[in-house]
Amino acid sequence: MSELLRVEGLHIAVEGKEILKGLDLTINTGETHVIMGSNGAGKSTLFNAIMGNPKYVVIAGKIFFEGKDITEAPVNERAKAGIFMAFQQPIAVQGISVENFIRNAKSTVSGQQQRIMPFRKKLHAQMEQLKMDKSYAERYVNDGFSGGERKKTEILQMCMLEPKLTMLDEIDSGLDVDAVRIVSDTVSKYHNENNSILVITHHSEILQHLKPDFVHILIDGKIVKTGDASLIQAIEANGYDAYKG
Amino acid sequence: MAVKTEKIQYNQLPRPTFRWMKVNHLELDPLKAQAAPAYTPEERHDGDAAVIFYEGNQMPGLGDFQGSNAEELQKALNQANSGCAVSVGENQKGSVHLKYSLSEAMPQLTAQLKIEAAAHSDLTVYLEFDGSADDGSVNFLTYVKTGEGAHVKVSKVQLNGENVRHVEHRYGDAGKESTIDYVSAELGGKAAIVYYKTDLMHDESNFNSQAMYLGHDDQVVDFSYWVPTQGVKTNTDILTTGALLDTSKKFFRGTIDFLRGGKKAVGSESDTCILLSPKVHSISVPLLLCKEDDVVGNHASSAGQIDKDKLFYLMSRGFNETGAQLIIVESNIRPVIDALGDKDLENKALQAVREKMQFCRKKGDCHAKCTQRFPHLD
Repeated sequence: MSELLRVEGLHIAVEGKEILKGLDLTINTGETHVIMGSNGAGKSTLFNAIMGNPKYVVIAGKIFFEGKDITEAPVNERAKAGIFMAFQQPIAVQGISVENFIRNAKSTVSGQQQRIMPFRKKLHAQMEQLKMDKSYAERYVNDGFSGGERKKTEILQMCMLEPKLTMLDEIDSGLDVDAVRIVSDTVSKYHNENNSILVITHHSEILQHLKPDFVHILIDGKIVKTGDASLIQAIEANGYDAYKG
Repeated sequence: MAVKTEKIQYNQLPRPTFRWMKVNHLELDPLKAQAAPAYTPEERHDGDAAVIFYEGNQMPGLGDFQGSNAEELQKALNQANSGCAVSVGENQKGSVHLKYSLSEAMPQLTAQLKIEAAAHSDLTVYLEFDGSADDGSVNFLTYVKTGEGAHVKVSKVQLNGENVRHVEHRYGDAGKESTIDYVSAELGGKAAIVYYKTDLMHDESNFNSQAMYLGHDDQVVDFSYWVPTQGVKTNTDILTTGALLDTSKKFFRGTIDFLRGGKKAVGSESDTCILLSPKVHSISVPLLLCKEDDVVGNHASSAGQIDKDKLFYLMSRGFNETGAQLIIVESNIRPVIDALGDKDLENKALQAVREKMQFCRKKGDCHAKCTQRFPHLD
């Protein structure tokens, strides 16, 4: 296993307020990591910082991806490098169909123009796996979609863009039991020894499918505890207070 | 001593407001008039539509209609170098494509277009303005008359040369239970000035207008609407949307005039503008005038910079900043372009949008023409 992502002593501020206060994290290829923590601990901030959202200002620390320092890299360069973030609240983009959007995104991240028919065939197969009606491919991106449909569209993008690192920011929120199973099964099928998954969740259900290698507890901008999947039961039994300093 | 040039006023608000607000009209320098040869546009038609080209003035009386500018309107009435009448009979259906191209030989177009749809007919008129002339002017009068239950749609793409002044006067008279639809893409010219007046004097008559624009350099785009409604249960829906680059300006003046007797009328007007440069100006004056209390009127206008969250979302999918901005602009205007209803016109409008975005942002470094519906921008 080779190192895919390394975060070193990361301090992040949003609108002048420090949220991450010296966070370290290493993810190797093929691993699944879970970040758990109470609301406001800095979980989504970490994802946004790794993805390069300019609202999240790096005060100190470094982010390395495949050994390359990407701390200052623009968002699209990180996407091209192979980082993908499934948004907690995906944005609607009127006027652009789901198929065109993903096909052009795929052309952009891969550097290769996508031929329409093979791309469409693969897209429809992925949609079938996600139990999405094919008509969604012709609809504007997330426009008029329910919360669950938006989350599925995020996973559809993941499957088609084939990133090396997928960050799932509460992908299970707003999904019913069946949809959680469909989404987690799809992510599990996608996951292999060549890519890594980083998950934020408040629910253990999705983790029964994703089988994490490492679970991290994030409290007040720092990872205070790292363990294996058994840590999830400990959190459920004791809550986060037991890990607060 | 310098001689002060008298400015021309366009698109006067029907009910002027305070002068210091500088929104009552648009002022531009006068244009040098040139004699223009008689002109016939490229034309093709389908279905039952009949097309006749004529010389002189064949417009009916337009009442108190003043157009964008009264003097320019008189020129369009009395000095037109192009006249066209389009019609369909009762219960008939058809469409007409008209293409007006300015050239070095004919840089000034003064034209009339008379559209008449008899009862329960359906007529679509596609208009295209383009040409090789960088400099010139268009002074265009459109008259639309719908019979009972008829439907007329006018879809337009304006792609005039960079220094052309495009002025349109559009008058509509909607019959009972009839609909007048305008869909417009204003993409060319130094100034694009369109004045719409549609009378909804008959019961259940409808007026819909969708217009998009993309201002660049010091271009001025000016839309003015006046919709007096006196029929019962009339419906008015006005939407303008677009983006401004460089130092361009956009004015929107929308007046829905609910007159006494026009009970249960519904009217809405909306103007949305994305500001892509700190030096652009977006002025919006949506007005609802009301002499009848049993009506519903809505108005909204918004102008703002690119949504940062949307930009981040798109860039997280690999698009660079310019590409992501283009997607956001396109997503804003695409519903109007899609409503044009003619693939050829839609593609021309989209291509013009993409060229303008890329050219304007890169200032001549890149002027690659993309023929795809949705380009790979990197």
